[in-house]
Amino acid sequence: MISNQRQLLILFFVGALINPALLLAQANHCVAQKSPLKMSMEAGQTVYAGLCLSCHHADGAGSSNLNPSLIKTKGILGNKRDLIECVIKGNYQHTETDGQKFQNTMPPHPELTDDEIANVLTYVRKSFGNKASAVKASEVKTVRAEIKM
Amino acid sequence: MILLIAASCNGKPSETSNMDSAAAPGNDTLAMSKPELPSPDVTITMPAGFSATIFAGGLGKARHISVTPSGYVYVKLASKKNGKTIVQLKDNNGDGVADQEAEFGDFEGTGIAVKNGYLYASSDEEVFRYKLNSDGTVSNPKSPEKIVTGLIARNEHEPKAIRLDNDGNIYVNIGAFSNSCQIEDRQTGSMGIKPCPVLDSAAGIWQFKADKLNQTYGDGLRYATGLRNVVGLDWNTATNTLFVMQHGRDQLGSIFPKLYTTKQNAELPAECLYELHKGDNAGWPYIYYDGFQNKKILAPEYGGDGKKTGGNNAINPLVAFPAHIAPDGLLFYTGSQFPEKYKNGAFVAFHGSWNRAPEPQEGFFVAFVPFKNGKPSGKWEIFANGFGGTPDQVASGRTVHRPCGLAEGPDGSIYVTDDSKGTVWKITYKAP
Repeated sequence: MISNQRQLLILFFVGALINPALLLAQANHCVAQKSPLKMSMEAGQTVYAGLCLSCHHADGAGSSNLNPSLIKTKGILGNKRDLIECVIKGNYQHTETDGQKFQNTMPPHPELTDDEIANVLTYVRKSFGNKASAVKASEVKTVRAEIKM
Repeated sequence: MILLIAASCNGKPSETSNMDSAAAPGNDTLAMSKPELPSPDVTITMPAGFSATIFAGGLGKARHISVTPSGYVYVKLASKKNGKTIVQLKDNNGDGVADQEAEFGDFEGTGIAVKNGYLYASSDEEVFRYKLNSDGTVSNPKSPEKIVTGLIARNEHEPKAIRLDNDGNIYVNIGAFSNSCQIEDRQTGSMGIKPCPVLDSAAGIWQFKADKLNQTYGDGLRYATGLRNVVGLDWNTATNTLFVMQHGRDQLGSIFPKLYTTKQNAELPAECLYELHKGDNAGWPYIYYDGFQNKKILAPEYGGDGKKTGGNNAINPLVAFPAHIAPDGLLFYTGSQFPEKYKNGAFVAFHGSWNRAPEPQEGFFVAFVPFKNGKPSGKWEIFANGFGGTPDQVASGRTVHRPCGLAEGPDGSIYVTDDSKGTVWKITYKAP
């Protein structure tokens, strides 16, 4: 174990001696290469905190009878198109969510950009125990165009 | 264990048992069962001498509660239990715990009130009444009379809380089907409609006759307006007036993020106790009551900025409670069991908040307001706390129980319902 660590250290120093710039480059690489998914999740979390959290709460569980839970519900994990439409158009019909009706209105958010909607939905679909696929801005764009027709 | 008691035509039970007084005469019979008695899962803290015991449990969405002079306890459910929506409970052996339960009624809802030999109960659109036998049982559990019909229930603030006065009138809350009368409900930046069209048919207390069948809006009187949503209300026999607890507005912060921070949203719009007289206006949606400035503040939907006042003709609250903690039960205490301090004072059951996030949630307790000569005579205090569970459970809003209804029993004990698990507590006092 110790000898292995020593070997690694030696290799490390040898590498650094050969090309000191390599270390710096690798460090920069790590910062620049934050995955697109991670960036989308972070941006989505910001949108969520500003617009969604007051009703759906930090844990995504909503509030009984009033605001639906976002945890592993069909509406969140299922059809992305309907989910995108719900964010853009809101839900003034108080449509049932997983067999339960909720009393509060889901307000529309047409002011959000395609990227912002994609990010917040990606965040929701991959948080609170949810493990659904990401939402792309291009998918939001398509739905927005359909709604306008 | 289920016991079906057959009743004979003369109203006397054909079967003798210690439960025979519960048998309904006539053709309707109630299936009796033993109440579910869950083990205590929270610790209720109260002033010295008071204790809270579980009277019944497992009732589901147990909303309001009322007790007959003979001690029959009726609980209105917003969900079905054994397919029914009103629960009748009785403690026959006097040990402080219900030993007999029956269900009847087909309409889910919130309101229930015993008055002058009748049991009144509401769905979200109608009010019914059942004739009570002299022993406090229901004579017609399958065929109530319809007193009021056709009330508006449009998703938001649907429950119809009810109370009766001593002059043959019933008061029904019709909550606003809107948060703040915006053009687009709860949408960021959407302004208020002026005049607010909701006020014609909702956002107020309507008065109807307690004994007239099939009344609707045209038969009733808009007794008071400008009340966003009232769930807790009670007739104060000391003042002979109606008192109500209003649920203040939501989402100042998310609708007007440039005017209000999330913390201001969590704290500013008070939950208010009002005394109502015929024709009163409490000011919704044009104002909200700021419990810090102690002022009626012009709503941002109508040009307010958090400082401009408004509602010159609107009544002032008697007590301003913290924002969003959702007063769902109100009870003026008329009994003699509790110490003198509590006589004619008001108990308020707070269901607990959701709209304080990301600030910690609050509420989930029963408060008390002392009264003297018909007016609050001191600061309100938390009377019974702990229904929510641990501090973390309360802060997250993921609580064990949520207090909703309050009622006083003939012995001066009070009952508290919970619409999360359907537990009913009985609170008694014994001088320490």
